[in-house]
Amino acid sequence: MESVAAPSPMWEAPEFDEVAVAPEVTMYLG
Amino acid sequence: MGTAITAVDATSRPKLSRHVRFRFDRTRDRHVLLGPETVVVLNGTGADIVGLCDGARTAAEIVAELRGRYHQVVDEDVLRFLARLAARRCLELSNG
Repeated sequence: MESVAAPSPMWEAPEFDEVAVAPEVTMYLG
Repeated sequence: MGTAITAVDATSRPKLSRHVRFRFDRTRDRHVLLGPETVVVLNGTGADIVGLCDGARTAAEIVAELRGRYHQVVDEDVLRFLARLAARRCLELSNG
């Protein structure tokens, strides 16, 4: 029985979006 | 107070800054970096890169690890991404 490895996903350029929030919001999220 | 290193090359060893935390945000369904006054929302490959920034791996080792997960990883994408996060003080770099 031949096993077939799952194909690796294609590379996608890494990105980020920066959102300014009040300090208490990040404390809460954390 | 020294100047933070933000230039990234293959030998740089990135790690999260002390004031930044790496979390999964269920509302956004994305990984985020929580800073004192910012939330940085990452895409999938960005989150994978940040997850490998342990201060022990070099940038080259991070790229090698990503090559095991993705097809056609572009080294320059990774280095540029690390430099951008370092410029925003989300990452600290030790070089060499």
